[in-house]
Amino acid sequence: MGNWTMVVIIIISLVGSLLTYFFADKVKWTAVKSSSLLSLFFACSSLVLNNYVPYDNELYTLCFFGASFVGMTKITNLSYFWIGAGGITYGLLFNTVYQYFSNIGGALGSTACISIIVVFLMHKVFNKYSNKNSVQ
Amino acid sequence: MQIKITKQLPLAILFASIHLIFILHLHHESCKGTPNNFLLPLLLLLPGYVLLPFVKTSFNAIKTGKNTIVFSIGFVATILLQDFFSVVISSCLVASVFTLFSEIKKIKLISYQTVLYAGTFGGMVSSGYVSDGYQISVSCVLGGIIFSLLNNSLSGFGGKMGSIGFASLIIWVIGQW
Repeated sequence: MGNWTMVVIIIISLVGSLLTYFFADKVKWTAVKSSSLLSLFFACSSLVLNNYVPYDNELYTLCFFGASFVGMTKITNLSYFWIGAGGITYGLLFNTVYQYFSNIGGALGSTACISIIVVFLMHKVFNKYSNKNSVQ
Repeated sequence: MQIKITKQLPLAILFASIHLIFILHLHHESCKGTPNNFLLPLLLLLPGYVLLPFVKTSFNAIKTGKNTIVFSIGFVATILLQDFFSVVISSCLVASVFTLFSEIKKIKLISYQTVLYAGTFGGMVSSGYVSDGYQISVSCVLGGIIFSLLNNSLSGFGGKMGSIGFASLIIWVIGQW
């Protein structure tokens, strides 16, 4: 995989996660509605675009779909910044693992979940240290 | 720094086991070519699962039965649609139709959106893993039970349902190692 593809995957992951989170947070769609409708729209647009400009649309569709799971996160105190961090973590992880999915169900969700757990634990540690410093 | 460990260790171990098998599956697939050295370090994350918010769930047979039925609908519908569309479109289409349908207030199905979505993730599997009615039935029952066990845990964690979708297929994944 080239560097250019990797950059595109990270951008799609970031946009996919933040967009899903935005629709759930501001437009008040349920997380499932936000993820499924946005991914369906992206997949159909990608399919149409592929007819005019052939590219690896299945890879990018998979990437967006998985990123939308990151955006389904609704944890107290987890801001857009941390969701974006989750999206980027997911993008990096997706780059490493997607070729080994071998058409198994739930692989994208598991990748997204691992990314969110990484971000959640980072957020927890960050909060502990920042609270400790503010007390001192 | 104080570390608050979850009191629900069995659920934390169950969820960590799902991701353990997922990571080992990826490693197994990578070993068919050049092994990827970035996969196994992911295992270092698993002990951290004891810090995640798991909540005890009392087993309710009726609720589990309903969850299993809705999980099966998502699972089977996605498998059927794969003959016509890509896996992503199949899963999204099933979830979108159900979501819009469930928002009709009289029907009161809105609480089943998540379990159906988990079912569609399981249904994204290829026929190389799950090919007959027996395998589909076992996966659906397993998915329904695991969803019911983890229903109150990790609320708001993205990807939880995908992990449950993967968990429903674990037997067939391990069977191919």
